[in-house]
Amino acid sequence: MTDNQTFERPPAVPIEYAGRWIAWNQSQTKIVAAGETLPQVREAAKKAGESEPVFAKAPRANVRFVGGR
Amino acid sequence: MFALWADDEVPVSRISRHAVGRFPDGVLLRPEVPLRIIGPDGAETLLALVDTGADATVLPKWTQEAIGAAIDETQPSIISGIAGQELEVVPGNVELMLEQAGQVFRWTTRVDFAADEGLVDAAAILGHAGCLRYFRPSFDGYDRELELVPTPDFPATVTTSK
Repeated sequence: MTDNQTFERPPAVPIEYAGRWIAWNQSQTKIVAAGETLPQVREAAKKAGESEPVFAKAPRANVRFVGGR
Repeated sequence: MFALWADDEVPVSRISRHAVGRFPDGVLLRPEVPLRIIGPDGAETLLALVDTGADATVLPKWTQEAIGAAIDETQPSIISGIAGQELEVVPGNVELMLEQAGQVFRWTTRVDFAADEGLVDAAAILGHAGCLRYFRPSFDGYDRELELVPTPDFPATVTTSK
């Protein structure tokens, strides 16, 4: 890592979002929407006023990922 | 051979954090990067898991539809997880973009699209084909950082963000 590299560490995704699709705001500092499908989350983010959401899938609680689906 | 830049190597860095149930410290750290997926009709951004053990780069089908990316449904293939679970994917062509610390990496490539519901534990996977073959990934467990440095055969140019 270069010495001049700085970036904000993202906040942790709360456990209540486990297993769900979520949308961060553009700067990835706040979750603005969550849902069971990407289209749902896209629409919810739009309604929340976020024009450039960043989508993510929160991992399931108590399930560790080691590759694959 | 050419140098992508002369002096500083500027990495793409992000470790996402997820609160989880009964694991020892209650927090799961994952190497994910904000990935911009660009097509003829638009663009969407996802947090994609950097997986050096993955053969392919896999994106959710919804993004293909949202951005109007061309796919070849006559060429489906199968991807498999560690337990042998199989998932059908179709290839498509997109532009991918990673941006961090003032540098923009943007390239055109072939990726695989999977049904959204098949992506149970990650929104997208950045694997060898389509992405990691063009980068030197470095995982720093101590500092909890990920570094992606483009290799000389990165199939595009690196530009400075505005």
